[in-house]
Amino acid sequence: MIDVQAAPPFPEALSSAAGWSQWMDAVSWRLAPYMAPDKIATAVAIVVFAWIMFASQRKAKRGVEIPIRRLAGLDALDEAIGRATEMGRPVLYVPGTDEIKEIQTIYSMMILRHVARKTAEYGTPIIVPTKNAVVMAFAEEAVRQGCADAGRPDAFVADNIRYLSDEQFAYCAGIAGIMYREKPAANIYMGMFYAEALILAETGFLGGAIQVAGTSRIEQLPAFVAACDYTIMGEEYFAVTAYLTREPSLVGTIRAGDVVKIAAIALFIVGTWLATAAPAGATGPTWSSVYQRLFG
Amino acid sequence: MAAPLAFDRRWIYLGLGLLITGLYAFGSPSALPPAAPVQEYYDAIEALPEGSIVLLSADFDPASAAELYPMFYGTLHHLFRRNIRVIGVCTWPAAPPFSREAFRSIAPQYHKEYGKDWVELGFLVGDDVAMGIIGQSLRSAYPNDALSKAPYDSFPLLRDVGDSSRGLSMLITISAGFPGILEWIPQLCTRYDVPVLAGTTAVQTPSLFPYHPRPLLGYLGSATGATQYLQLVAPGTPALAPVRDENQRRMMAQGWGHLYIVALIVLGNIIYFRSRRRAA
Amino acid sequence: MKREIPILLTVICGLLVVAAFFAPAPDAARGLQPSVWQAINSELLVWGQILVAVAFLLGIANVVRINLRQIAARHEDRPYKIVLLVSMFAFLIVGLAEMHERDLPNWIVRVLVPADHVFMKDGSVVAGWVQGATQTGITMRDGDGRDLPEIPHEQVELVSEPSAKMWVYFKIFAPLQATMFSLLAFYVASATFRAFRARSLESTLLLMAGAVVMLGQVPIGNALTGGSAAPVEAFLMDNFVKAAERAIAIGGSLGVLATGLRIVLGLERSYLSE
Repeated sequence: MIDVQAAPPFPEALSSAAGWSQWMDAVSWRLAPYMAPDKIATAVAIVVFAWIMFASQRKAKRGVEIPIRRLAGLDALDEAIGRATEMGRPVLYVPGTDEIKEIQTIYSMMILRHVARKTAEYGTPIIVPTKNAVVMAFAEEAVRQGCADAGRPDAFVADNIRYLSDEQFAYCAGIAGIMYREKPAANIYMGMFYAEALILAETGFLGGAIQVAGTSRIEQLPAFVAACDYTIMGEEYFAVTAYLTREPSLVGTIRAGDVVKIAAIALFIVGTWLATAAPAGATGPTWSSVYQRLFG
Repeated sequence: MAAPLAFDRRWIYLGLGLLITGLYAFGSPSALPPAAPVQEYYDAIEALPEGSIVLLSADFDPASAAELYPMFYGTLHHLFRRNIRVIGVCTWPAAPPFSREAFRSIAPQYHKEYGKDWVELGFLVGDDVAMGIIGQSLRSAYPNDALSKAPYDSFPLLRDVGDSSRGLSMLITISAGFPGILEWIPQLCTRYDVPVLAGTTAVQTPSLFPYHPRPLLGYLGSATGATQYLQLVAPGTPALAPVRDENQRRMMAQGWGHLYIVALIVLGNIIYFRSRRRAA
Repeated sequence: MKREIPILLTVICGLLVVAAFFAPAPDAARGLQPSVWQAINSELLVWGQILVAVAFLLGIANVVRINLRQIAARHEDRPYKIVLLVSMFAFLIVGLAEMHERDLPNWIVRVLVPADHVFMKDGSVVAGWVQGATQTGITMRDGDGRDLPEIPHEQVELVSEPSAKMWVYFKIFAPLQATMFSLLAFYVASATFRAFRARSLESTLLLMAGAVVMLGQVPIGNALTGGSAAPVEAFLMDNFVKAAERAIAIGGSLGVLATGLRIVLGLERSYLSE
């Protein structure tokens, strides 16, 4: 941990520092009035990530093909909507239980627009229960836009976008009620879910619907994997909109994330090797301690 | 696609229901060896100097109270027994009744004085935004307390905290989901160097692994962790013995529940392989 | 302008919060005062808090609007919607009355707030509404709003302050929530029976790991496996699960970071339906 409370115990001129460690102490001390020194590594990481992201987006806009591997769950979306159309039953889309400020909910609205376009093309009703009044407004807009994208603005039914309750299990019970009464043939769960995930997925399974789930919420992934037909997991969820739309800016973002992950793996390997190879009981600065100071 | 059940699922529910309720009603408590994170949780509180100030956050609701309230209850006993000063806050709107119930029943047992040894600040709206405000300045977050509505500076305990959360020795959060420990860590702990302990539900416990052992010094995971912790705290606290016994009885029933589910897995696979052989 | 103003607000607020994160920390020893960025961040946090609180009011307004509309349209679930609205407002009114007991007219307090009882050491009971406690005793008011004589602490055996709000909370709301949550246990049982089949190598590994973890976490399971389940479970959790959790957390965080950057820089406009 960098100590910025005390002045370094040597003249402030950087050139008089006795070694790496003192030099870094002095630099931190001089930077402290302008920026929190222990957050420099974070700032550099964000700038590098942003640079890679914009470079990838420019590359994608120039028409360079950036492949995204096939996500089985997304292909299943079309299959699910088609099945609901054949059976003459609606599609149920659950956009998660969090507020609009949650990134997963924002992505869910983008996916909802795509699903709404598909259901409007096929003439299949789509029901969207929400837990939050603001999310309901966004969901209405997403479905309306989806219907417009399909050239079927008349397919939008406001009463199918329903605000049930802000209370988690009351919302869950409300969705279970919709499943029992309206018997959707396809259930799509996209967003942030909590304890109600398994209750929803299991109730949906018992109703005989085909189910596709997507969430980045680690705790609920096992519940969806056990009870749903297809599950989009973790960071795949953030790749969904890029996969669906192939929009250059989104594809570029995915590529940037992958590049940073490879860089992070390299950093882990180097750091682990340095920590393992560091001489035991060393008192002066070692490569390992410098590395830790930069990235720790 | 997951296979349909070979028989009515209600038999599974009936079996589980009878097993758990029967064992809970007629079974006897069984002790559990403490897990390492539970021991670390206990040791972290034991290591706090007397008179330290701890922020104790109740971040749960009735749905998870069966798992989490024993943790909260035991932790408060432990803190008061160690003469640690406690500030109670809540970030879930349904949590204040539990917090109030615990403080009101436990504080008199240790002759703790309100305002000097403990203060209840209550629920603050805003989820993780509220946590950010608490981290930046407890005084701005809570101009008054929850019980008497007196100003912040009228309480000696809060005056000792000062304006910044750097006056806190530790944060202890008993959390069921959002907002909870995963939001406290970036908003308060890593930003202001406040060490943290946490108690969570079983499903959220794996999410704590990346943060342990720093900044999360120790944690109680699920009802198992709660029982193990109560076993550690109860010897010095007679009032906790019935709570510990109750939790041990629950764990005994839960243990058999785990066996029931493993048996269901085995049975399900037997049925699966037999039907595959028949189909072949 | 309808599109540009929200984007501009988003960019400005986002950049201000990011700037506050990297702003230098105050340091009294060096004479570094809290920076203006921290002050701006504090203000934005309070604004955010107000918005979250407003969302509660918005939720109430929407519940009323939507359910009233469906009641008027003679929806088939009309009785349940009536129960919902009546119970919501009843709890709201009772709760508000208890919070502002001292400021309300007496007739409202008598109707909505249960009377408190002070049980004295001599066996008598004083009924009224407790107003507060001083250093020397308890102050109460009677049903007509008149102040009763202060009751010294040393004469008091027990103070009973019943609360209709807490009764509803602990007798109705809490059991209902606990009931819904407990459904998970049953659904876990049926889901594992259905889903944990050894169809492939991966699913076999999954079910074996699940079984070992379940057995290792309870003493009876560990005893049945001769004491081997607990160490294997600890090994799986400390190595594989921890590593996987960290990897998923890093991956998810990068996704959040990318989207957050795009929103803060005004490049992500899906929240404007674009």
